[in-house]
Amino acid sequence: MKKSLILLAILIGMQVAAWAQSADYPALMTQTLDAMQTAASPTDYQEAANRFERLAALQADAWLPNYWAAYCYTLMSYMAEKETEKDQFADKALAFFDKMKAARIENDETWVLRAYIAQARLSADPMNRWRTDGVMFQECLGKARAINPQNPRIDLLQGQNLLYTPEGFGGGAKNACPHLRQAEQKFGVFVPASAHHPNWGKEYIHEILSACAE
Amino acid sequence: MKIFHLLILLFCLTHTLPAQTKLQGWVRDAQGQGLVGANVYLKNTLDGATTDSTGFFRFVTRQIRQDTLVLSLIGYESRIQKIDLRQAENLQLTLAEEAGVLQTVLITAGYFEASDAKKAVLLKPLDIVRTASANGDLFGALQTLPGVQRVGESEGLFVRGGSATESKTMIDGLVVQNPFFSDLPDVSTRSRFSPFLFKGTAFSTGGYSAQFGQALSSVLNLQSEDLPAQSNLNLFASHLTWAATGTQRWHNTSLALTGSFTHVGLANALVPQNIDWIRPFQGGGGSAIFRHRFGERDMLKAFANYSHTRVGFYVPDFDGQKTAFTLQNHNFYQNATYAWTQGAWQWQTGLSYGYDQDQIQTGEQSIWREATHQQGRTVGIVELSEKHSLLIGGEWQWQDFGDGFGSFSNRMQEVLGAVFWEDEAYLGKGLAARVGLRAEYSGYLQRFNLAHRLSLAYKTSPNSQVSLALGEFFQNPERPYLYENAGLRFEKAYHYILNYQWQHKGYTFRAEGYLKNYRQLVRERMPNRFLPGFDRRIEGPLDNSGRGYATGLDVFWRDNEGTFENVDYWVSYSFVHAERLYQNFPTWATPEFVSQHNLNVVYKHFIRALSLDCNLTYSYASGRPYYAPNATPFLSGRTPDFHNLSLGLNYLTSLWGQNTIVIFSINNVLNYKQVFGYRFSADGQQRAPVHPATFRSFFLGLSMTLL
Repeated sequence: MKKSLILLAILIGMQVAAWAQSADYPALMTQTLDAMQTAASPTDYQEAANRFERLAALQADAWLPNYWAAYCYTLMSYMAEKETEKDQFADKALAFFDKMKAARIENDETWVLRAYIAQARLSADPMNRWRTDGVMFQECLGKARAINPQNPRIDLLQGQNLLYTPEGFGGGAKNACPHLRQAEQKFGVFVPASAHHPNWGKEYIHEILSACAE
Repeated sequence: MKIFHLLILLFCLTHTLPAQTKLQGWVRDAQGQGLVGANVYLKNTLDGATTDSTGFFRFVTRQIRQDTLVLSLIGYESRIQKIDLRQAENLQLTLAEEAGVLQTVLITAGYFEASDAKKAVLLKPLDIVRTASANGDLFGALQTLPGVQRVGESEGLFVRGGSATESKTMIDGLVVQNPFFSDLPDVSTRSRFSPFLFKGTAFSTGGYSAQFGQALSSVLNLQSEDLPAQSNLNLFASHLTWAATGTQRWHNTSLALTGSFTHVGLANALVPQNIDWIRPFQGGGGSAIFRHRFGERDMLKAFANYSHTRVGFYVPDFDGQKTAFTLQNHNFYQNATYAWTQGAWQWQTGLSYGYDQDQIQTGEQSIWREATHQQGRTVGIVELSEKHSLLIGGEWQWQDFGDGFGSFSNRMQEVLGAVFWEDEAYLGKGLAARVGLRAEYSGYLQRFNLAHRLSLAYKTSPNSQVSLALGEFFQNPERPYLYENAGLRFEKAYHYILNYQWQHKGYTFRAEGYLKNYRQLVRERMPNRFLPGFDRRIEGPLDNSGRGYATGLDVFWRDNEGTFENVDYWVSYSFVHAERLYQNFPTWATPEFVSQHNLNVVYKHFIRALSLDCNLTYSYASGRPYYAPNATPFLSGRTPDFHNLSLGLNYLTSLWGQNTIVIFSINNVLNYKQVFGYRFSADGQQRAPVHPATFRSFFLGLSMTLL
């Protein structure tokens, strides 16, 4: 009786340990997303990216950790100063995107992310890259739009890109603002599938819309 | 009793839950510096941490079996390492810098690439357009690179003591027979192609790949653009040229059509001319560019270009006489390439066709020249492993040349076949090697050649490397010699190049020493007198006993926003010592196209607040030899040194809501009276300097893009 009880206890104990590990996943996702939201420096983003990378390594079939790791590196690419560093971060972001693509995870959000990476590369050297990364940016947004035209981040990126494009190349506030207003509208009704799903850009759209205030 | 059992159960439970283990330590690089931001975690768990600014990390785990630690950090090789969990409180871990990115050892000897596709290139495609002295001409920009000589009275690339005929220009690997407008006596002409057609430029000043042949000194391979970003209409207007390009982009296809017209009459009227023009340079033409993408990567590209030009002026002969010279040229060039992947192989096949016709009237004489060139080429590249790649390919060229005047004419056909093989491998410990072989057969000469090429590169530090290139290079003798004698052999050059390159942040330093030995150059065996100049007649029997050498040092320094924001400058200096005994030279001498010292300072500053791009170029070349009939020793005279200061301004603005670039440039701002050589009267007593067509000149243009 005693022996079987102890055996049972051991079994339960092992079960608990395993359960604790997998129970960590949603909690850690939430925790890391919170940390990312309050991140202020590239170091904070690196910390978050590293956690997402660990989560991604463990949950091979889950696209969200890969998505967020790529997102962190894209932001870091924007934050870096030198072109070579910007490219290193963008390449790393691309590696996570490629992992998702290899696992056949393709949806509107992943294509928006791919466009965002292209935009990061483009902004590092716009004069030399608008013909390569600029084209990639448009193509990826096109793919995202074909899947889900209601995704507000498509219009956000499109508008943001136009805002920083010279007017004569079809950019400038005049051309950007209709997209940004569309984005604002779509953000108004957008509901992410879960707390872990992409939901960025909502605060930024208000900030960037100030450029459209007459 | 029940409570007692429950206590035991609880006791057991807590004890079977693994105890927490603390892991801590440092992650450092090979030099012992702490690495910040590294991801350290136990494999297949969520237990891990990120290193702080000293490289320190700390985390706890409940794992007892998992003892594999994973380390990763951008720019470093990821690694996994077994550790002992019982002694994991002072882990000393190191990461090695990644072989990718900037750390790779690249074979750089002899190469100058302008591209955005590869890491660590020295130039970007736009750097070419933004060079002030280039006046928007691709070759003008290449002249500011080390190893290239400034020869003001001729077009073409004169590389490291080599003549312009020793340089070959290609588009996607296919030879362009006439990259420049027709050769004129003592007047240089521009290149035919807009630099905007190309996404990359690979310029080699020696020791190049076995892919390329029929060039003793240099190859320039231009990589054409892929699909354009969007449909648009570009209008270009200047006081020289008017052009319009319409581009239509469909999903996987694009078509661009260009029409252009050039007339330099207005420009000639505005700036004092050193040439007595009969008909200022004028011409028109059109081009078509087609692209179609199949699937993700496969791509079909086709390009066709036609132009018709006319020019006429008086050529002084310095005896008080002047000869009218007029030229009319038709030029057609087209190529098509198809790139596809098959398994691990990447293939590219191309076909090209070129036709060029000149009709020249000089004095009473009518001269015609005609040349047709066709080429087929296939290249396959496979990555056998991450560290080993193989390239194989073959090409076939057919040429038909003719020229003549009156009842006299020359004509010949040449068929050239070549196969090549190249193996590139990373041998470890920072050493990379490339070995190549190229076999060629000339149908006209009825001869074979086999060229060996070898390049090595060795990483001396994370930011520097040394490379070495050796090779044999063959080329057919020049056309006039081929007409005379089909029994000639290939001309031959040996290159020995040693290169040092250091790159850090925005800085690049590069120094390259070389020796080039020429063998089997064509010699005219009856040099009773040396005749310089245009359209010289060939004298005496010919053989391949000519020889020569060129030795020198090229230095390049570039600071690309390393020190000043938005400022980019480079300095290139070349020293060359070259002598030859060839053609109709009576003795060993330095050829007329070689200047011992060449210096270029290229400065580019983009003023963001004003949307103004300012470029300055200063060029210096020491005097070149010139021929004086009665002077001894032969070719001992030296022209005055060459100086040129050019200014370019590009202003980005918006006109009628359309993106507009206003281009303004002044060539030879300080109005130096440049002398490229002297031409003598028949008795050798009178001489007159050869000047450029204009000293100080300017360019004003406007480019507008409508969406």
